Amino acid sequence: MNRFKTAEWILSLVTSRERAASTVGDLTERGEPRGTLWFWSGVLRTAASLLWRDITEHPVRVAGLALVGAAVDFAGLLLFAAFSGIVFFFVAFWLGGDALKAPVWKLWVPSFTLIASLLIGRSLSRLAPGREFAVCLIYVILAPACGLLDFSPANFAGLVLGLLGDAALRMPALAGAVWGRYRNSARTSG
Amino acid sequence: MAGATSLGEFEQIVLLAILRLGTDAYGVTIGAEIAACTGREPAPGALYTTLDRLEDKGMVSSRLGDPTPQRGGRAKRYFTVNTKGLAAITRAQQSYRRLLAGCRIPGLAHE
Repeated sequence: MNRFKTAEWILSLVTSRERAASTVGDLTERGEPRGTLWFWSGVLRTAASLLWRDITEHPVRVAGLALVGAAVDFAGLLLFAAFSGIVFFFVAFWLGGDALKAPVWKLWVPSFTLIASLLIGRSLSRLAPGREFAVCLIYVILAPACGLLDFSPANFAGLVLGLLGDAALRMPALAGAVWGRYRNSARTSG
Repeated sequence: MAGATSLGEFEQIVLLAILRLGTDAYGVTIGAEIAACTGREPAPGALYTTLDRLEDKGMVSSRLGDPTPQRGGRAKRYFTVNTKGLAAITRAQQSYRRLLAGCRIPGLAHE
């Protein structure tokens, strides 16, 4: 994928393909004497502006959908915790308590969060055609706020690191947004 | 002015630049025209977001030109101001003129 196609792909996440293509054409024409750095800065600033516009034009709808995603996320985690309890009980019962100390169990919760975020991102995208990336980005920011429920002022650094870690685990929602956007585009053009 | 769509300052600048350029108004020439007239080059993000917003509001319309090799084979998107955009810019500029008419600003020619 050359740099023009990459730039076009980035912009097509926040605007239509035709607009993305003509914008990359403009940036190519304007950026010819100014170099690669100016071109990429233009692409990223344009994408950020269009994303910001998607968020600020309908802030209530975008935040509402992101909160729905966070609620589904929280409910999913509760169900998963209950399911994990059952699984852990049977593993300990059949294989012994030491079996739960195996490193593979450390991936148990993060794996669920990664997969759940991807699916939530895809589902939110279906509800917000044209604003897929904006809604999923706000979900990635809002969902870790559930971590504030066990906030302890004594461990502020731990809280901040926990929130950042939770947000990082929900990054697949952005991949879900890309997935959903392709599906929405295919549905519109089909 | 109930019901009338209001325009921001940058939206007015973009509409006026498109009107000045006539049939040759696309992203690059609009940016250059704004830079030439105001002395400030618009940020690409601000320009394309404003063009998209004006088009969504129905104030401008766009059509794709032919792809050119200088642009990596990508077509130019030419803009024209619609009746709604023309009415909005006329209203906005008339408001400015009415306000200006009561002012004495040094260095500014008065009608």
